[in-house]
Amino acid sequence: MTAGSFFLLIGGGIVTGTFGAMLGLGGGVFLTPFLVLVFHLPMHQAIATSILAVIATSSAGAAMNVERQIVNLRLGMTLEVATVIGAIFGGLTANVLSGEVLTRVFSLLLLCVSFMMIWRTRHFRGISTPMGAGVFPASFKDEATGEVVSYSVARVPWVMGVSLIAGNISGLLGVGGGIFKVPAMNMISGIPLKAATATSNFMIGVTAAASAFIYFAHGHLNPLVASPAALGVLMGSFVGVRINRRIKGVSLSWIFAVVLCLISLKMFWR
Amino acid sequence: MVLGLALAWFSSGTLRLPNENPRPIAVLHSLLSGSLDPVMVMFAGLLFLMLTPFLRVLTAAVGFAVEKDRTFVVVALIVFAMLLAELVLSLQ
Repeated sequence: MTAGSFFLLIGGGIVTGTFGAMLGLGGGVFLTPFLVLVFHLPMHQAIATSILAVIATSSAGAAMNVERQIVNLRLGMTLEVATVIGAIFGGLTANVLSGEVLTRVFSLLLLCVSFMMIWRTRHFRGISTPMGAGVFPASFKDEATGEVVSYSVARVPWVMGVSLIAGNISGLLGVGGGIFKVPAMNMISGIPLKAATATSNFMIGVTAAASAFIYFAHGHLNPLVASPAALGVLMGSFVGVRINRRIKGVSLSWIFAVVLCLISLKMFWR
Repeated sequence: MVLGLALAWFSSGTLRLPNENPRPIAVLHSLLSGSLDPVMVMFAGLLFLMLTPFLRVLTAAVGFAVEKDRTFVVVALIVFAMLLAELVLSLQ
């Protein structure tokens, strides 16, 4: 590996991690296309690298959120039963599919994600399920308002169904799956957005680990690519979270939705 | 990973990747033997990273046990068992 490639990988990781964290998507959605389109990496290797990046960003954020008690651990662990099953089957499926098929499926996922990014800006619920109306009651202190937010979780089986699909997509394509889980937790179960995001962030690392060893065992993990890229995404995610606290804009979602559509088309006709 | 990258950066020879990913035991053996092979050190970093979610689930199980919440101790252990099964079956 040349010094140029090395720095490009770290730089690319930082940029994709920043964008991912700014939009609450995680780095995988941008990292995989970057590795495939810029580095011409085989799709399986790109997915394996992305899974590593998802674990790194989740591990960094989860500890902080658990400490602040924003993560609903009981809900997360319950949903994890479904996501882990989905991720294992996703990982196994990915390793029997060709890189070309995976690239096409990934480009379709990007189209879905861009649609979801626009859709969620209009449909997120500000009202949470009150205590006693659901299960897994929890509360956390909202740092922005200083208020203690109490809520419970409704319609758990539905969210478990979404989590199973999200886990499957995670194992198959190396993305976190938060783009599907967070809206489901918020809109179906009435979980406040901050708690849903923190719980999802806690979960995605565990979900990614469920398929990581499958890719490792198939020899798709290239340490010379995965190490700098994962470190770059990790650094980028810290930057992205800081920027995200300052910038709140629907226009940002629109811009990146269009960018993702273009990347999707580029990958589809690669 | 950082150490592995640093070693790779300063190593005078060319880096050779193994034909297939080494078994975790081989990585551990390489490290314990004192050889600072940059690729093996990077693999060790990656494996450690991949194992952190396992620790997270175990920590949650311990937390539930401290709170005497048996139901969620069982749920956490089910998740851990599935992760462990995937790990063992993948590496066989």
